[in-house]
Amino acid sequence: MIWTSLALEFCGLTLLALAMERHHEQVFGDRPARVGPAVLKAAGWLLLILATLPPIARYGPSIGLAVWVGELTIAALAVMLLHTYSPRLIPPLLAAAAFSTPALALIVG
Amino acid sequence: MNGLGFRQANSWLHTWSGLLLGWLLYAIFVTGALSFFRDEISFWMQPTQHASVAHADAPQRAVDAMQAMAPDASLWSITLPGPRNPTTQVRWFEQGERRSKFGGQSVVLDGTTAQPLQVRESRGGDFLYRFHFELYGMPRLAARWIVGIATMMMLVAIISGVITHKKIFVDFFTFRPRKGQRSWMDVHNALAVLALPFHFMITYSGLLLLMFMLMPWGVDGAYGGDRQAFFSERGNRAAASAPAPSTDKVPADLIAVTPLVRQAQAMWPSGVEQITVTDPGTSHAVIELRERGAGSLLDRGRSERLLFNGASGAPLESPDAAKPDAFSAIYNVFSSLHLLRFADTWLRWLFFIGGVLGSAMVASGMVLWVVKRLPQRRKQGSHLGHRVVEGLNVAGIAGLPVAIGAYFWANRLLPVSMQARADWEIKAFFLAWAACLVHAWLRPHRKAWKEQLGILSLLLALLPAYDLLHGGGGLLAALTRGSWVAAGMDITLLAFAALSAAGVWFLRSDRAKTSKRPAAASEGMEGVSP
Repeated sequence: MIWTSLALEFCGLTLLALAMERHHEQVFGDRPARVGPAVLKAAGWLLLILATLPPIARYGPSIGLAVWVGELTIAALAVMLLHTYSPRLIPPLLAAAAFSTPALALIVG
Repeated sequence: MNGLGFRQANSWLHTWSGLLLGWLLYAIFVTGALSFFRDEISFWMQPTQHASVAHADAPQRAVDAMQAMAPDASLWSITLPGPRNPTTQVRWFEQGERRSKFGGQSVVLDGTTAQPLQVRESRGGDFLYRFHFELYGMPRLAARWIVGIATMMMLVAIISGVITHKKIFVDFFTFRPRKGQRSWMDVHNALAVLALPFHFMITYSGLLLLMFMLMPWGVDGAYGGDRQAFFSERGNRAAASAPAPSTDKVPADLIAVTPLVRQAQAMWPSGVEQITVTDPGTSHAVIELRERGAGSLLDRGRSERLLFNGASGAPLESPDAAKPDAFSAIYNVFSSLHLLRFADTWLRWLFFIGGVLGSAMVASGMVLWVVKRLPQRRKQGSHLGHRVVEGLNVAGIAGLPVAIGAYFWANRLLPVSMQARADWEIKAFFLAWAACLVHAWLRPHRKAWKEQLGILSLLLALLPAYDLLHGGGGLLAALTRGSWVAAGMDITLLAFAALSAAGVWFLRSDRAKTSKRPAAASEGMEGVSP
């Protein structure tokens, strides 16, 4: 449950970062983007909204949203540090996090 | 200030309000973050309790122990083992004794055997919790005023900081290391922006909690100066009732509490926190069960209660919870988010991390003030004001955790039978802090940082080591018992020891790089004054 929302938030924030030219370049160099920034942005926001569901299901709306915001901080710190220190890890981690969420959601909930 | 643009005016406000109250705000943030784990710290500071393990029969065993220890008491209050403390804490009041929160007799029982445990005299996490909003050694009201004003300035600093930070979205995930001032700016921005909802919420709610004390006129007007009546109404609780007159009471056996607890546990997912028995051993006995935590912020985590006749076990009418109105709901949401009494372990950790990030944000702002002015100081030579800020930075930022480390060490090393032991623990805290201040003033700036962070790292890392040898097995024993409350504290101490060691390492390796880039950038923040 905790992991599902953290992973969703990590994916969402990573997509939002990749929608920005500076960070896309950090990760993919000067390879042209295959997906436009508008799509990345929309997908990123969608995942962030989806990430509210597991904590709300567990804690109820008021405490659930507080948990969501707290987890968002951790995910954002991870995204920032990865872009700075090992941007190459981002595509595989993004894939791993994205893959882990539906599998985990099925098992846990 | 004339001639400054809006953003520059805010930058000026941010810099100087931050400098003026930064050290105090840092201390409030650090002790506040630790207060989220107040119970856990108190438990850790009572090593004789660490072997206690919660048992399913704890409620009945505690009641049996009370029957042996205090059969004639007017009230028993039994706090059952929970996720934050695996012991049973009992308190009782003799006939006719006034019932107050901290009065009466209190004993800590083992969570399994219900045998009394020896406790050492210590303020535990309560000292840090009180320091968070009442400081120490000064009148409470004055201290709360000081903390309230600092909180107000924090809100000002948050708002002016957001206005000053031009590229809040463009720089959202940006950190550029090894670029001197630019990097400190990035650190300060990242710590502020990424946890901004937490910073805003915790500051605003802190202000709300102090509001009725700082601005009592509205309440005093409406309630004719009886502030207690106002809070009773807010909390929907009557003022503590006097003991009932003892007419036609006849001795009667108390029924078994286990079935009642089972019944309550079926209703309440987080279980029963407390059992209160009034007039035990008489026909008037009333057993009250109180729910642990609650499921919503709107009612300020007010928990449900169940009442039973203690002689027959018949359910009595339970006080029902009133629906909060809109103002109460908002006040409740913010104040319970701040106090976090309802929270489970995960949310508690999230908030603790938020508090640590907040402390680091304030600290990085103070360091940035010094770093920004270094080039000028190099050209013009040292300056008393600059030196004072440098010294206070070291003693404030590194010295406070050193003092907390000394407090923990005093808890372990002072003889258990010592007179005024709890006071000496606190004296150790302040003596260590004062020593850090003197040390920071006497040593060159960079060396002072390195030495204090080094001492901090040693203090924190050696505490779990000491417990391993003298504290009944320490971390290893706690892990094998699966006792995460005690183990969590040791692991956290080790994590912070590693962090401060990383700080020492950073200061060693980074020397050449930082000093070579003097006037790198004031791009992100424009025109910060002199």
